[in-house]
Amino acid sequence: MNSRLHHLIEQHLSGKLTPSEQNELHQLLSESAENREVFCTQGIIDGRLRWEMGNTLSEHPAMDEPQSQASHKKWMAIAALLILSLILSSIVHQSFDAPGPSSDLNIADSPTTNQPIRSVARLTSEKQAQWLINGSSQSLPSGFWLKPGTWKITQGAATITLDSGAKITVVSPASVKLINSNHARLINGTVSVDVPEPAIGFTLDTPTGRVVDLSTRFSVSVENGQDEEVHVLEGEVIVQYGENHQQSQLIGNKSAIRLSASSDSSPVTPAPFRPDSYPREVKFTPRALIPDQDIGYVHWSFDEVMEPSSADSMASFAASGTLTEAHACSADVVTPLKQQAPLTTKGTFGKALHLNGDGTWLKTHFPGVAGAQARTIAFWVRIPPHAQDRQAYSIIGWGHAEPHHLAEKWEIGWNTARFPVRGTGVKGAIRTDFGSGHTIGSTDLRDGRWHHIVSVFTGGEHADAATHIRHYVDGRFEGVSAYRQQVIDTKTETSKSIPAVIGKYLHPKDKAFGTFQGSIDELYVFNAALTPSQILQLQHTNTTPASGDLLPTPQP
Amino acid sequence: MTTKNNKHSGDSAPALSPEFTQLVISHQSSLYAFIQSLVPGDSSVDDILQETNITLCAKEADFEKGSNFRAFAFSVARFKVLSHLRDKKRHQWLLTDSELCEELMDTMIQHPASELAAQDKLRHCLTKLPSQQRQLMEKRYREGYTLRELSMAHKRSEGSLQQLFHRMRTFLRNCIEKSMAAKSS
Repeated sequence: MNSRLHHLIEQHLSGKLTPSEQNELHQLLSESAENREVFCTQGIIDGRLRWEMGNTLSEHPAMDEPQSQASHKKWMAIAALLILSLILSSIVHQSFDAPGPSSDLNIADSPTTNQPIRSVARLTSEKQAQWLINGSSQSLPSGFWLKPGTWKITQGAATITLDSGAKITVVSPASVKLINSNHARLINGTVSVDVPEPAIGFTLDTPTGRVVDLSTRFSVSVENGQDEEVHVLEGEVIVQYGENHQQSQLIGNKSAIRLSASSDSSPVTPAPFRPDSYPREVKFTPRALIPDQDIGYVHWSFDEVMEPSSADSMASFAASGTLTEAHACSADVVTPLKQQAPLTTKGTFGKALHLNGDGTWLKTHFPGVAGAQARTIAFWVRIPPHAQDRQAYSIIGWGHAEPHHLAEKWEIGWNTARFPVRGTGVKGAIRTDFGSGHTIGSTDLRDGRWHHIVSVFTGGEHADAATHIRHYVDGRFEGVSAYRQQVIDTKTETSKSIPAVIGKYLHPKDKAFGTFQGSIDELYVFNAALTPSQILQLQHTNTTPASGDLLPTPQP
Repeated sequence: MTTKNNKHSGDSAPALSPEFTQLVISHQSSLYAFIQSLVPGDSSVDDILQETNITLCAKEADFEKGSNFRAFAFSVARFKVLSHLRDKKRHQWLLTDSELCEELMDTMIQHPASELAAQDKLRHCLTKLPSQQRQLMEKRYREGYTLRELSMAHKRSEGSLQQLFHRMRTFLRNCIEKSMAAKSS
């Protein structure tokens, strides 16, 4: 086996692999991490030797090539680079950054060199709010994505929704430091916090203590030099205080406490409950719909099997929605089988699509969401525990997927962790791919139960698969087990672009994946990023937000 | 709207910074080895490296000073190799399994022999090969002899030479890794 692998690698390095040897090498590399390590070692050392000794053409009969000419090639490359640096100096580069947190304060979670920065919250509504950004006062539109760091409101009021779904309403003047998707710090001012069930455990630090939420609404005020107050408007919270927050007290419904940093004996004392003195959530004003702006969704409920719309199909599922042409996006069944197994099963709302991984899939005329436009894909899925790796793709996918082409497609499936090495993420977790980039969730979905899955892409210029995709599983913000960077630009209008397919890997000739096994219900594609509240509404009631309530992703 | 560092706004054309140019140059051998290992026997390796360099220079504004240049450079090289594979007929087998292709690229990028210091270490490690083996390396990689030609010249089977080169490259990899570990400790 080893000598055969060595021979095949040698053939590869010489550029002489025959088609049958290619298949053989592919097989050997697929089945063993050790073989892949050997392949990579031999390839890189071979490349370094060629660089070192200057002969770039493998197996090239270069005996008549003077040594100086051969090694000259690499220096030509470097010289060209230096010349390039001069040529490129005539090109004006412009790179725009989204406004960042106030620079006069410390930024939370300063990124390490390898960690991409994800936004952790979104400005979901505001009322004449002004923010201190880089020393100047600026307004930010509703829908704006907020990165970790300190956000200082100097005028008006705003509601910030963390990715977990916890909402913080701030009224000026106040400074809030966003730490992660379910953790913030009130530096000064007054806030109200509304925490839905999936965000239980939301933590708000204060200068003196820490409030850990148990699914509720509460308010906290921090004024410089004064005691802090915590008012529980609904539910319960735990207030932690003292050195390293080692002491704690449960605060019940409709009660308040005062937290004193200066008092040694009893830092926590009862306070009068004043529910009306705290800010209320700033309501989002539905934006006026712009006629040319086609914002909405397409929906496949899979409730009813219809006559097919094309001759090569045996059945079809209707599509509906608010996007123009949504109704024309019915999903036609494509199958290699002469006798089709039942296509539907009992779903979470009515019937659901059931695919056996036997080669059956659905094609549509929905081109998909293009470029770097924000998008949300929501659906219920039930994956059997015995589902095979090759049946992991796709729940839905679209875009440019020409064979042997760099993929520029959007695709959602479950993570096979086919190569179990560091960085491959949790097997069976939800996985959203674009090109060579992806974000992978942390919950193994292969348990034979229904799960509500939402994949949100925040969109925008320079949006990246590693930082701008977030998943929700059963309403809960999903941790990221692995990611890979890739700037997103979904191609839906090339001659090789494929409209949305359901239940099949988009790459036409990929050897690793076939068709999906499992049940899918209430599949939605929005061309906007839904908020956590809207996601919960969709999960619990199967109703969609009005088009005017879909927040745009503001361009910087 | 703010411009990044305000260094590229206005009409004046910015030159590449010396630091950035130095970073690109210092990573040439690592990028070359990565590209070469995926498209061997292909005269386009220099072209792909050059395209990678062009894109890196054009994206200087996107590179945050002090962040991981190696990751930045390899992400561009990865893209260029995939584009090349897409356009050419050779090495298509790598693209028939996109997940395997990505996995191989990841493994190569994280490989100790892809580290910045590896080229210097390789030079040092080559001196540790027995002289006969070093001469074989020279003949193959500097003078361009094929295995068949070496086989005839040295009266050894091609198979045994394949195994010998395999062992020598493995020795060099281990030597590079040990040298880097010794330096870091």
